[in-house]
Amino acid sequence: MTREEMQQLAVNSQAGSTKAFELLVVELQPLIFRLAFRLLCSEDDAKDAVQETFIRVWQRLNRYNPQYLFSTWVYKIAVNLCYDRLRAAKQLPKRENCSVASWEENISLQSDAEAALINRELGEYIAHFTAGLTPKQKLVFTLRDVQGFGAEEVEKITGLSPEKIKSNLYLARKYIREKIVRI
Amino acid sequence: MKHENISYDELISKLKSASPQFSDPEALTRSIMLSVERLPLRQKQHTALRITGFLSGVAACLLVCLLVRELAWQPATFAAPIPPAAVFSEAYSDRIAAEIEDVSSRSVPEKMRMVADIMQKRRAQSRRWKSAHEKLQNSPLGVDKEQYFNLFNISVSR
Repeated sequence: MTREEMQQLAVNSQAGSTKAFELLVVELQPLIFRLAFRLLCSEDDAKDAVQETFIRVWQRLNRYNPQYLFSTWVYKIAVNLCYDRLRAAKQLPKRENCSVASWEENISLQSDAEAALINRELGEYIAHFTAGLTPKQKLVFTLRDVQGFGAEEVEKITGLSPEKIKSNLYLARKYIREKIVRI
Repeated sequence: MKHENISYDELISKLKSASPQFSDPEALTRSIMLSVERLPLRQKQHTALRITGFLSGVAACLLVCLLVRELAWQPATFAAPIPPAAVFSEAYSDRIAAEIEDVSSRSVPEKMRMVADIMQKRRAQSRRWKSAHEKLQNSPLGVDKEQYFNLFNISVSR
């Protein structure tokens, strides 16, 4: 889908077209899922985040300015949502979502056990290197280094100043490098 | 995935290449669309309408503030001094009352004459009052109040 087509669909969605919105959901949900998974390290949490993101997008469509890129706006909503979840997770005692018991339950419920296994391993792998980062550091690191967004785009998505992005990225990289050395 | 010895760049390229498996995206789309169809889409409000609403709100707040002020504080003009009744001599009003009472014992022509007399006196008194009032208005501040009341045979109680 080209940028112009996406913008047109966004305008149609603003006018109330659910069909246009569905096309946007189909186009953008894998991208949002990937980002949410890398931030939350869990398939279920990532799927919840995707669903909530698109519901918020629909509710706030009247605030969207078609001068800006629709995908960036959706990313911004998704990132805010994931950031809130990361902060909430930091305040709560550590969940044992990666425990063997819950993992076995998940396998029995999920149809695609192989995909679930891959996701679980990947989630654990990411969490191992990023668990000690603050939500802001994790956000900036994931967007800049893992997702490969440019500095300007990260600025637009997170709403952080260039200085804050730089400092958070520096600290995140430093922490991960130290973590690699310790292995 | 094993946590083998890797460099930072290797880790990043590994994380980039290892995308999570997105199983059953159609089900998620259906679920999103079901939720969305239940929610009403908020239409864009006209800017003029929003500004009007905002201004109406501000005006309403101001009116409420004025009302509260009116109720809570009395304006200073309400506290303007009123001359006490005791300033005027009781003798003056007694004399008038006695004159009126006396009228009932007299004949009609006498009564007419009396009324004419009283009216004449009142007119004369009114003229004196007016001229004294003008005099007082034109006089500089600090004029003796006793002198003013003496013009009307009124004693000042202190």
